[in-house]
Amino acid sequence: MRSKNKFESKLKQLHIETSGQGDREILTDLLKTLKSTQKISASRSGAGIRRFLMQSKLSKYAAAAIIVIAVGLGINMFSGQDTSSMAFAEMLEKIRTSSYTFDLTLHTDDNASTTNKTSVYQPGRVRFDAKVGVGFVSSITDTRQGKTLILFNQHKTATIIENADLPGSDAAGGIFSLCMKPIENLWNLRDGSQKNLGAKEIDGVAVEGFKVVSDDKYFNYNIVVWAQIKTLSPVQVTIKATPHDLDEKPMKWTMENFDLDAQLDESQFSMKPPKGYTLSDQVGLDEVEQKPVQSKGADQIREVLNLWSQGNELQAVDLLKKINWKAPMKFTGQPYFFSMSEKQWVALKQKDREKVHKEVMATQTALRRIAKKAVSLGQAAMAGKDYDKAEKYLNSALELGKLINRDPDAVMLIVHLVGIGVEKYSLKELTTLYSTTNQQQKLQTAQDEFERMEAFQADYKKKIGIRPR
Amino acid sequence: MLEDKRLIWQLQSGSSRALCRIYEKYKDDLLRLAAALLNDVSGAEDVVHDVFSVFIKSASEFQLRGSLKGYLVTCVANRARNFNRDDYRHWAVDLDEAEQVVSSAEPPDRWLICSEEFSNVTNALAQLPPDQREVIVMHLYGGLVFRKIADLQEVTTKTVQSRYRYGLDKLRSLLGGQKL
Repeated sequence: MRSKNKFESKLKQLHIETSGQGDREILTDLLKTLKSTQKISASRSGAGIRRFLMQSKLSKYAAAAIIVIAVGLGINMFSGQDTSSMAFAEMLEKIRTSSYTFDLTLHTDDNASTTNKTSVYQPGRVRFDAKVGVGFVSSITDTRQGKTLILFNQHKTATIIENADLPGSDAAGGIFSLCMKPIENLWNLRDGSQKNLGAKEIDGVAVEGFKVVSDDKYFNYNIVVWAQIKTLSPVQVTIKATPHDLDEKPMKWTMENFDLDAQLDESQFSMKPPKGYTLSDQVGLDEVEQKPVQSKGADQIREVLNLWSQGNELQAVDLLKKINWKAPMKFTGQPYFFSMSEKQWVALKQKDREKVHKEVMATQTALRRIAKKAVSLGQAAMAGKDYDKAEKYLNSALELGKLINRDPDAVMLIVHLVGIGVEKYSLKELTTLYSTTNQQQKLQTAQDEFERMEAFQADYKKKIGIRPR
Repeated sequence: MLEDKRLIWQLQSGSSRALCRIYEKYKDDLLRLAAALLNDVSGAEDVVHDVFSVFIKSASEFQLRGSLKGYLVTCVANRARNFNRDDYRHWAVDLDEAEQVVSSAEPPDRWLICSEEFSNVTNALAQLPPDQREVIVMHLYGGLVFRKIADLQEVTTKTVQSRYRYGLDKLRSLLGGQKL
């Protein structure tokens, strides 16, 4: 009894930890939920909220970049009173008119940080490239137009964020509004209260520092600038933006390694997506609708889905078994699961994109359940030693997976991933069947195919930028 | 208990401080519970996030009858059960990743961090029959008494006690050579 209690006690003592970054993001989101309980649609899913959080993250980078431009431009305003005003005027003019690069580090509460190269192309354009979960993302902001172009380079898709479209732009904390803040607003930070921090060395370079504290509607800014004494060029700028809303967390950025003589290519700052990129929010669903094409197999798949949705599960799976998978199948229109490519989906206007997304998610749920049902019927037949029947059920699930995977470029990424999942699931059971029936050749084929799918899945994940867990 | 009642009253008045306090007070326990029930860190994060979100949305009509922790634990258990019932876990890798891709978005950084010992336990728990796993996790990590778990599982308290006993024996055997 004592040993049992000891075991229970040990189990109880095991604890988990949470990351400060995760806590902050989740709590920020929950606080937003609290504030806008009446406004938030009840249908917003957890996944949707998590996507929203990510968008916030990107916008946070964009906000950082905009503040950076302002501070880069305003640096001499803080120090001009203590040194030769002519020299500072020259440096100010240089920063105002030349393009430059620097490393932008975003600090988080849990002492983690992310550093990305940031480039400023005058007038008023800034680009930063960052490696994030779905691959390499570039953000190009044009403060004159009040727009940010985000390029998802891995997928060759792009989206433009405008002030009015920014999620939560009216939220307290207002980091989104910073993205659109005209440079001039921050330019005029100097209010006569700046503090001289004296001189010191940074990496062997003699610098003098200045600090300015300023407020706007959303933040209290604490900005520290260290400039090279000899050249007056910026060496290090640190900004801490503390929201007036105590529920929001402060943000902190550091800018270092300035190159004020960088030769930049203007095309890298274009607000037009590069050739081959698909821009979101361009077309309506009616513009991509295709004329229906007669295809018996496609009609049967629609009927399988129809039967399943009506609760006729066994009939649905029986029909699945009867499909002639060798006959060509052509899908047009609904279900978009089979007929819409990722690029077509990205190009859709927001409302249509949501409509298609909803349909695709519902279809993928139904199809994986159908596949699972077919496999479970196969397992039941196997248990009853009706191996022919078992093989038919398992093969029908496998063929369904192959159908979903028939052309990765013609369907959405999620569809392809579901197809891979269905194929692997079916192949695994087929190996069990062939192992039981000692059909060595078929077993070898199924095992080889399973391994091929595993390798293919790993390559595909890498290709589309999914991080391994 | 009194503090929870006060916090809920404050939350109903829109107090963000009350929400922060409730979150800080219970998030670790709820995440541990969800992670142990699901053996899926990402799923656990989603479940707890969703439970808090739904709780906030329904806070205005919420009436605390027992303990707040008990209520939240029950919500997590129910949501985790639905999560498992859909066999989401089996497909989780592909479908989570698919969600990521569809959104063209990076998931938030990892929120929940499990120790090796805890991961060993959740891996072993995942090998138990769902009913036994649920009883053990809800009793040990949710702090629910057997009677309450019996209500949730719609079985007798004796059955719950048996499930706990058998489950614990099997768990100990599974964890025999592992670090705990």
